Amino acid sequence: MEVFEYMGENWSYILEKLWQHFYIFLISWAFAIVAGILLGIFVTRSGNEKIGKVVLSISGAAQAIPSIAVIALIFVFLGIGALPAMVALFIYSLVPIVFNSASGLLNVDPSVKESARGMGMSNSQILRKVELPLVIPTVFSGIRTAAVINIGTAAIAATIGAGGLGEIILLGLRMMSYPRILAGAIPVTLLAIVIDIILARLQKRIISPGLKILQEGRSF
Amino acid sequence: MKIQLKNLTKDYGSIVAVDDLNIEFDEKKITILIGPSGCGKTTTLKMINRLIERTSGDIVFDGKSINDMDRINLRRHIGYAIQEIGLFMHMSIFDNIAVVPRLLKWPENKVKNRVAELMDLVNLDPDEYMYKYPAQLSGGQKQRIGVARSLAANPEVVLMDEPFGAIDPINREKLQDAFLEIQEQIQKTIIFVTHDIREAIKLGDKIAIFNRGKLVQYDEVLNVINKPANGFVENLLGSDRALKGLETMRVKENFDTDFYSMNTIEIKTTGEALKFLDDNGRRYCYVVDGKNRLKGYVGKRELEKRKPETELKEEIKNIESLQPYSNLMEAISTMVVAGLNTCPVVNAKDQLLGVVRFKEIFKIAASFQSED
Repeated sequence: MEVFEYMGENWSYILEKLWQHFYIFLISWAFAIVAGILLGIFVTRSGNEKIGKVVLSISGAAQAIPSIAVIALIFVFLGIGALPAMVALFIYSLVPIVFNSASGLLNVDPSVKESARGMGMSNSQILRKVELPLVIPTVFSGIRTAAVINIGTAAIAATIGAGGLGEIILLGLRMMSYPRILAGAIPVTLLAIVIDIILARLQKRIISPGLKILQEGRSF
Repeated sequence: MKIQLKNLTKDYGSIVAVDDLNIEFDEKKITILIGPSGCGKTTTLKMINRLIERTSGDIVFDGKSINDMDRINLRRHIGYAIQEIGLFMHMSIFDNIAVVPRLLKWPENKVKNRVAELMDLVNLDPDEYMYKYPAQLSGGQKQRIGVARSLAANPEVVLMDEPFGAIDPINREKLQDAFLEIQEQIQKTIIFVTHDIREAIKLGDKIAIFNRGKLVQYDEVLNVINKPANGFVENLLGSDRALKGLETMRVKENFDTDFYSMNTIEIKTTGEALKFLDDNGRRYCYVVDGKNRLKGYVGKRELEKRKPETELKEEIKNIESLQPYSNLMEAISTMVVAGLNTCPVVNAKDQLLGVVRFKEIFKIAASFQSED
């Protein structure tokens, strides 16, 4: 088991790369969450319907662009390093979040909004108390997708000098050293799985029981 | 609260949805706005809480123009219920009903008392349903919550846009009966949109009939039936308008409560039941439980086949019943379908109140026809 031997000898290096990986993921993902939800809200406010349609179709199509293409484009415009890599990851994780936020908000039943308005809620109250809680399931699944693809794409971003666990994998590939490849690949996989499990737990907690019952179609 | 619409007009470019409308709504009464789709009834309703802004004219609340009121605050003081209900699926029943009181910053213990009170009012057990979610309720139950929600902050005025339109016919009649019972308790000024003339006759104190944005007739229900303003109104009422007069009369004014001593028993055994029937010289009687809730009826012939000490159970046969707010038209059709000469009347808790007799209704119908 050369892998574990290698990992044992280089644990502090691997930990450092793991931390780097986690860091570029977390920063770019967090910005994508904030920007994605805000953008989703903006394009669905009344008066912005036209922009909304454009954003929705762009973000729908953009989900099909391979991650390597985004990274390559960013390299062309911004060069190499951790910052350009984070920009690429930000853009790439933004897509599912914007798409899910905007489509979720567009699909909120108009009669629900009408009754909220008729009861005397202001626009911001309708957004905060009615629309957003109703679209949490949709938005959150976008956030989860973004996290998983972000962690995977961050490994590829090592090609433009992002650092992180991808660096170990790339080095291993160049040296044809399986222990190195695995010493990078195993922690990346674990990181993605752990983050997804944490988010799944969080999702269970923050979604209203009323919506879970609705989704499961259970009547009692 | 007195509401007046003065020269109220709404146009969408060249299309005039509501044309120079003048109405004064009666306080504490139910006014129905009715007409074919596109006649302007819903537009009129929504102008009252400013979900739609009028083009010209004015709406006056107790002498105060709608111009001088804050739109959001106005809506918080006017109840609003719609056909689609629009409950918030992520909120418990409690939170759904509590929306407006909380917007008005009521203290939380007052909110809690009010929610329980309203759930009682619409006949949904607070202990059982308060913390359930809308997805766990049937359509009829959801609509009851919709009505409760519109009444939550105790508004003087409630606007209702076909609130029972999406409910199946059987439950709709029950909801309408319950709604009338509620209105008798709460006495709100209710403006109610429907396209169903039967609903209008059943629920309305006054009816405002619309066609193409104009008010065609505005009068008390019986006057509309007896003196339709023109052919349009006659058409709306349909050919059986004489019989529709029966729909304006309710069981509660025409049933017999003095039947009690001879007709009903709270009994435990077959023997007791038989003795009761013999003593009163009857062949049938109603059976109620300890809380006066109607269980059904028993017949002498069946009882005689049983041992006197056996407890009454399968001998009790189900019987159709009416509610005080059912109208006489419904009473007739229930009795014809069930083949009964008399029909028991129960309240919302199933407690027996009295009986309706077919003969009596027939007399009323006959007198009504001759007036016409």
